[in-house]
Amino acid sequence: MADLKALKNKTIITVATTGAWPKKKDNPNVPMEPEEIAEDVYECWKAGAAVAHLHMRDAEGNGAMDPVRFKKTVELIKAHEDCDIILNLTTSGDIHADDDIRVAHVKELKPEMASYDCGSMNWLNSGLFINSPKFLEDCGLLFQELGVKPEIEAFDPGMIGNAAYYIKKGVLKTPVHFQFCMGCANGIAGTMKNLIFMKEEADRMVGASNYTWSCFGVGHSAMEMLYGAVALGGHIRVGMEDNVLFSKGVLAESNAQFVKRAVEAVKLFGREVATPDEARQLLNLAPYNTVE
Amino acid sequence: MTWGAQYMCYSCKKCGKKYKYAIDLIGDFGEDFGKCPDCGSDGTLEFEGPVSPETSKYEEVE
Repeated sequence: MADLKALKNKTIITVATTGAWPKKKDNPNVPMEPEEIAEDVYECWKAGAAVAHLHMRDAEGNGAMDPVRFKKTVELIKAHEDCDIILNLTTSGDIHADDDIRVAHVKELKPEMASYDCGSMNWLNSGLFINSPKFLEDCGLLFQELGVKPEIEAFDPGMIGNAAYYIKKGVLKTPVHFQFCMGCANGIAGTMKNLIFMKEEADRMVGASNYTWSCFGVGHSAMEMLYGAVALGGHIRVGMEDNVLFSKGVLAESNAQFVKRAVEAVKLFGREVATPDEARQLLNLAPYNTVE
Repeated sequence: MTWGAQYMCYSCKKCGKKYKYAIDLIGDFGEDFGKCPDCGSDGTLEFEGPVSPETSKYEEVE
């Protein structure tokens, strides 16, 4: 059993390098190909990221749930033998993908973590982001069977309630890990008041000792959510999936640039950045290299 | 799965200015959301989108 008290002051930094949407025309530094993503992840790990959330793109740069590209990227990252970063693979990299293809790479690669979007929503006011009850139930049970920790993405408080429902059904097992996605179109706005509310709602619905949480803010709320998470004792996610601008009007040079800023914020606040091994303990994951 | 801020891009009906508002700030701007920052006139919504070369041509109202 991990000594979680000793890790109380640790903050996990997750980097979301690529996402499904921004393209080179939007920021030429977004890594798209497996080689680019793998090197980017390695640089982010060196900068202080403990978790990498990965998306893939097809040859045209569109979001793709391509098991071959996932495999290649994971292999390239693992080829860096010193890199023990936790890999968190998306299950939501293409809103047109069917339920089977969304988890095909998880079945094959058995990553330590994978995303679990705990409800459906309108997406960017132009499409549907469907996470049906059947998908969520099958996905939760599959993750348990494979030993994959769900990163429960909650775009609004209702998704926290939905997670509580799946915990009661046995589809999700505590301690769960939430990613509060703040400021996304059609999701909850990225304000401190709302971040506190999301945390309070998780406390109420899931129980304070039954979950860990992280958050990020898109656009204007990015810095407020970063500092808010640090101040509230949560963990943080940064990267070009959520923001292609580093600051107003300035394109991000790299994902490592975001990680370095997050490291600085954590240290300035008086907290410490969690190593991947410490993150594994905080997230109740098995020690590195003990999983097949 | 996310993708950054989303904008509504306008042109001013009166002075022709091109400008944009981030939709996560609708609550902050209230009634003024969509109005020209220079002359206060109503704008014509031209398109919506994320940070991109297209939306970057429009001045952000903050």
